[in-house]
Amino acid sequence: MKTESYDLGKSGFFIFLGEKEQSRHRPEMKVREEAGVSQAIFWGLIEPVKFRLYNFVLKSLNFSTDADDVYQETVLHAFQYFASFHKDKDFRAWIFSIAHNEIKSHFRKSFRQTATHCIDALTASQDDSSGALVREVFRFASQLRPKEREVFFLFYESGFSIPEIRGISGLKEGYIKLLLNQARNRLKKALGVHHG
Amino acid sequence: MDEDKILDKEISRLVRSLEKDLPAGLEDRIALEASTGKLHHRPFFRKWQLALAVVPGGAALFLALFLLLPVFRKQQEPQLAEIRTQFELVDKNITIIFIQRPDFKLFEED
Repeated sequence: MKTESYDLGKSGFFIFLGEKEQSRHRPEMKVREEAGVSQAIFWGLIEPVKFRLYNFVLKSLNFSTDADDVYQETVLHAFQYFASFHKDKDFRAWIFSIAHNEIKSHFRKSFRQTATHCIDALTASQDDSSGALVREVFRFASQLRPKEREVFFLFYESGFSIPEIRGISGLKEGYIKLLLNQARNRLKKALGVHHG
Repeated sequence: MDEDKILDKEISRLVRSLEKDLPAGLEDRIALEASTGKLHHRPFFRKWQLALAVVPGGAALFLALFLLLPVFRKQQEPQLAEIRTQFELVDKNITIIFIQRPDFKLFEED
């Protein structure tokens, strides 16, 4: 009985997969089973990251109505090329780099401005002081260029470190640090005003 | 440095305070599309970049072959058409010319 284990990131869950003895005698059965097992692993790995991934895509696209399509393309491409993923690598970083490519491709293709949800409407449920700060942060993010906005949200929304962002976006560490410092300096003033 | 970390935590908290759940039906749509295998397999030549690259690529290959063909072509050995040997007897005002050609047969029989 061969057993493989897959670490599902920080959630601490493990999937144990057993290989059935009978399938060794029927090759076509084994192929089908292996494909099924691979799909099960994929859906198991994506489960703990999907919420963060969706929100990263959504915010990187400025709450655009196209975010659902970009998220869908990301997941389907990841599913399609899952065979090329090495299980000793970080699945979260791998799927976020696919999302980064999809976002880049979206901005390259979309000549027209797509509809975006108004940030004021989205923060309407929050109380006045907190809502104003959130609006300030997202207003700042919306003014950034797409590449810079991605770095901003990879760091503050998805919680990636600078070396991980370098791996995902392909940008140099110095440039990422510069962007984050600029964001800090800009927001320091804005948030400082509200904190009084 | 510590000030930056505090600010980072604060920005991160504000960014994460506005989050949306995955829309209902989106996951089902993705699962359905993945299971039915309706993934986007773009044919090789439908990628317009590749299709465009074929034209200059083909032209470059043709030009390269055209330029390199004489280099690789086997050079033919030069053939002698004839050998002329000329003698001049100046005092007798006579000129003797021997002409050797490849088709000349020395012992030709009728």
